[in-house]
Amino acid sequence: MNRRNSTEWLRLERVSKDYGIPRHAGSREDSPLNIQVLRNITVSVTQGEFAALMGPSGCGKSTLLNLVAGIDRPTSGEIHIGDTCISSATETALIRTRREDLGVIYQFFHLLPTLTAHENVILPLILKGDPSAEAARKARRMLERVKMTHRADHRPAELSGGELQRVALARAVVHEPKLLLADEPTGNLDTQTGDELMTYIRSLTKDSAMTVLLATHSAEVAVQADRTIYLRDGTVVEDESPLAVNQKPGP
Amino acid sequence: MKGTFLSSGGFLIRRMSLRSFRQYPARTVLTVAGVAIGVGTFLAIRLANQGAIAGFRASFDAVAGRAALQVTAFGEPLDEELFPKVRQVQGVRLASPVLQVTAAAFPKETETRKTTGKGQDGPGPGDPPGAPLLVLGIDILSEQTFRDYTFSADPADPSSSIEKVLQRLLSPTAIFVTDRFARRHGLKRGYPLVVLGPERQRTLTVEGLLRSTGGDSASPASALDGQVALMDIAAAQEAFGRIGELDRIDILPEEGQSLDTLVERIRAVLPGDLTVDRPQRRSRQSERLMSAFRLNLTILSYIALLVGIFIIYNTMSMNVIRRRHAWGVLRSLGATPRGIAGLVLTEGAMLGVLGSGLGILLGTLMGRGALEVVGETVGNLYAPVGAAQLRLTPMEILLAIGAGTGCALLSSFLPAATAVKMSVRESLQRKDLTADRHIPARYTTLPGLLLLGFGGVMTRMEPISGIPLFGYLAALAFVLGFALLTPLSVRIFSSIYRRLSRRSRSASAMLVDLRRSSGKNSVAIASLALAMAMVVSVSLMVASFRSTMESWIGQRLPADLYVSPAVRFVGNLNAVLPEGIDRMAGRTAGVLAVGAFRSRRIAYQDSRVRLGAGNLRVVRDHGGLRFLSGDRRSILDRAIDKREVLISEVFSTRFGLGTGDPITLRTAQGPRIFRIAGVFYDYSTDGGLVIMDRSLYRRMWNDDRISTLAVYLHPGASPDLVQQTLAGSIGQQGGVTVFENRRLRRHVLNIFDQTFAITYALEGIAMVVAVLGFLKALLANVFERTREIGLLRAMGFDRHQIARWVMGEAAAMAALANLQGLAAGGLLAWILIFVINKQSFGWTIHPHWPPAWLGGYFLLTFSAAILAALWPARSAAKIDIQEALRFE
Repeated sequence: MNRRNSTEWLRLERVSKDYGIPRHAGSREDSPLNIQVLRNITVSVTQGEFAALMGPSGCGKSTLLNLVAGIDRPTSGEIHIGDTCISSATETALIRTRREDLGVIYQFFHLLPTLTAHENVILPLILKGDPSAEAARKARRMLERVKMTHRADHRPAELSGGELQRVALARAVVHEPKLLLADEPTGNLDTQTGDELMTYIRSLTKDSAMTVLLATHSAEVAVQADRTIYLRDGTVVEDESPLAVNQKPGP
Repeated sequence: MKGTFLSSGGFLIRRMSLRSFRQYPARTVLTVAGVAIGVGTFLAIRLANQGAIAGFRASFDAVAGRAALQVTAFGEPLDEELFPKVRQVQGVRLASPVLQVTAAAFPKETETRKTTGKGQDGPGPGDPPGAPLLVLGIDILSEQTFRDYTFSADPADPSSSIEKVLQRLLSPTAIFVTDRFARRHGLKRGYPLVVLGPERQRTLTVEGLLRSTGGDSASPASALDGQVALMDIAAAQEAFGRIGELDRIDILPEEGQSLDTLVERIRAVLPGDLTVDRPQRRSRQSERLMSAFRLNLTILSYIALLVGIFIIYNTMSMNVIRRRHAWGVLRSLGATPRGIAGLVLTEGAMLGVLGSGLGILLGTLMGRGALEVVGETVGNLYAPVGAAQLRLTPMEILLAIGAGTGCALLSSFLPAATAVKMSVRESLQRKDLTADRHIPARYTTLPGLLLLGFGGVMTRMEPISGIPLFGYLAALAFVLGFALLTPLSVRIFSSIYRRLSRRSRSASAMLVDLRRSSGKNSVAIASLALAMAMVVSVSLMVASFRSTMESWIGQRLPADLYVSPAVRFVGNLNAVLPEGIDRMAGRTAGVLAVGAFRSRRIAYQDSRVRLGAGNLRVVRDHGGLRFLSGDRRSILDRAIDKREVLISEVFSTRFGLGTGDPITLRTAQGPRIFRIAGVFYDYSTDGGLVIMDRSLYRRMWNDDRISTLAVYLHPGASPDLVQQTLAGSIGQQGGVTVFENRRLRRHVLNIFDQTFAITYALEGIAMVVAVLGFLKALLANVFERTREIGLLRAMGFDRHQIARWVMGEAAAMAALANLQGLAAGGLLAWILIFVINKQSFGWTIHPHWPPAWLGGYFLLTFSAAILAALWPARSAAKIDIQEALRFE
């Protein structure tokens, strides 16, 4: 096992992930199909670092983010966020980590359709146990920062893709997590909106020392990160600076 | 974490749950309606049962008044000579003699009657009976200590004193009726009233009005919906031909006197077949008889509630699946699994509370109708109920809310567990929702079979205090067992359907697949099958019972004509025929034989049973009894020659006696032991019946009176003609009805049909709830497949094909539900007939399975389900392609 560096905020040690895919209900076969998605990944990210995970579709980027977010467990290996070993943490510890330390932005936004933009943003604070007026103000300030104040009382169905992602970003960082995970955050956005979003994410690492791990298959997005980790077929094939990434062929 | 849920719970309930209810109003309304109908039915039957029993008890208590003890002969007359003996017993402070006659009143008010008092013909033989009227013949001097009366002021003489009023009651033709009765029939003071007693009819004069409302609620005037009248005891004895007779003696003990000691002392001066008892105990005995009937209704009302549970389960289950994405998001943001489960359960409870609230309103409305029917049935079968009132107590409201909310929580429990178990990753993925709810048959088949086995064992268990609790448990186990076998039957049905549809070239038929969403489909099929099973089982039981009754009536009533006191038809079962009527009938031209039958109540052990005395030779030669076992002729010969008795099946079951056993009866000569010659089928009373030859009865009870007369005609004699002749000669005696066999049978079957009318209503309700559930499941199917429907439309399916697909799937589900319902219904009918009814009432019902009926039910349920499918089919056909493809 690798020794842990004191400035490392996120560390993955020999992480593998297999999926057993159940067969169709009508199938005569009962045993599931086994697919290995990640193999022996060892990566660490330091506090305040902005790391991009890059690779073609199906290479395991989203799976890796899911493992870090604790919404899935590795088949083998360990994942540490701060002092917590996510891969073996109890459900209670996982929930605490999600509430305190983690913020996640998804490609498909995952906003709750019955809640307004403001209600979606305040939700992490309420789940943290803070339903106060101050929390409501904080959520509004967050919407202001992502330029969504005018849409605060609108429901997701009434917002455009860019607006949805801005609300999702506001929700992901409103509770000031130490680690922000972003899964293809610009995948559904036009170039200009994507750039604005990336600028904002970039500012988070600088202003509040937030660690960011961002999955993307776009070199233009990855170039804004401090570091790029390249995945292929479930393994890390390269881990280098953005300049080098920019010179590589796209996925 | 818990505290966090509480603080975030309110936010999520307001922002997510309530908005979700509003977002899908049709689904919310259907669910709430399902709970409301279930709770409403449950409450209506409870209120009706309680109202009927309270009405009965109030009437009984009002007529009993403050009497601490009553001397009776179980409805048979007491000798007046006993009264002074009882009064002189040490410890008796006051005794009051009462004559209590259920008569029929004909208050047809005409000018002739009003002015001259003449021209009141009253009823003739065969006329319909008038209004039932309980006439109390009382001793004015002692009466007021026992019961309170308030007299309505006389408009003609408002200052009239109580003495003057009572003076008027002493007149031999005076009768006091209640103001309610007077209002109902347009009577006033001075008006004549034709009253038909057991043996004769009299024209009396209304001399005063009793106030039935206000004053003391325990006054007899408030009993029996005001169908009560007062006469002086001597006048009543004379008017009803009961000179020298009493019906009971009411007793008040001296202060400090022990009732038990007093009972012993009074018993010492009474003949053997009389009883002295507390009035409340007599009332409770009658109530016990009614309990089996009421329990059956209660159980039936639970069916609606049970079907309601299925609906809530389906809704909550669908809610959980449909909103899996939301659960996933909440979990990814840090919501606890317990918090999510709490949210699901809270939503279930909210629907439950809302449904229960509406159910209480519905139950109160339905309860009024149910009370009328239950009251009438209890009145027909057991005892007059009186003006029963619906009383919605806070306890009942709490119980209804508890039942509805409890059922909602119970049925939300599994969906909540599903929400907890869902992985966050899968919840956040977008995939076909319908494929997700596959219930593998292997998980449900074994528990289903085990439940059926358990049910089978339960049918072998004995009842507890006459209540077939294990029978009900068996029925429940069978219901749940069949429900759990649904995934298996879906699988089998689907395989057969697949094979058949391979030949079909219809694109819509190709798409039909019950195994998709098999979980939801199984629940929808199971709930429809459950309702169908209930309807089929209860209908089969009622049909079997009716056919058994019909064939029993055919055997029990073999004579061509029956003569009976008219007041029997207003509930006076103790009425007897005028003396000598049997001889007169025997002399009538065309009459071959006459069988006199005496029926009365006697005490057996601590219960009341009926004793019948008939001419067993006539029964032997002309038919009339069917025995459980043994040769009919030799049984009757033994009963005649060896002076043995016959007991009914109910009596045999109730007291554990059979052929050859000795039985001790309290005769007028004291206790006597008889041997039982045989056990016969009987459905006339669920208390039990003992029959002996009339000559034996006459000797043992010194009673020569006749309750009914069976008249057998010579072959070729015209029943109409003989009836007319007989009616003509009997008409002189009055108060007697001559019935042709056919009419009597019709009368008995009418009572039967009326008794079971409410069960049909309950079945209908269960069916409506089940069809609502079915409709909901189909709507949910369409909703889940919105994107798929969009795809199909984009591929070239037209709206009709989509609608046909939905209808085809509905038809397949309805057909499967019906087949399963028929199978389960048959089995449940078997339990109802051979376990529950046999243990509740003690009689054997011979199964009768009319195929046309079953076919009719199949068609009816199938059509209802197909009609219900029109709405979802239309919704599916109207789905917009573009929106459907964007649908998440």
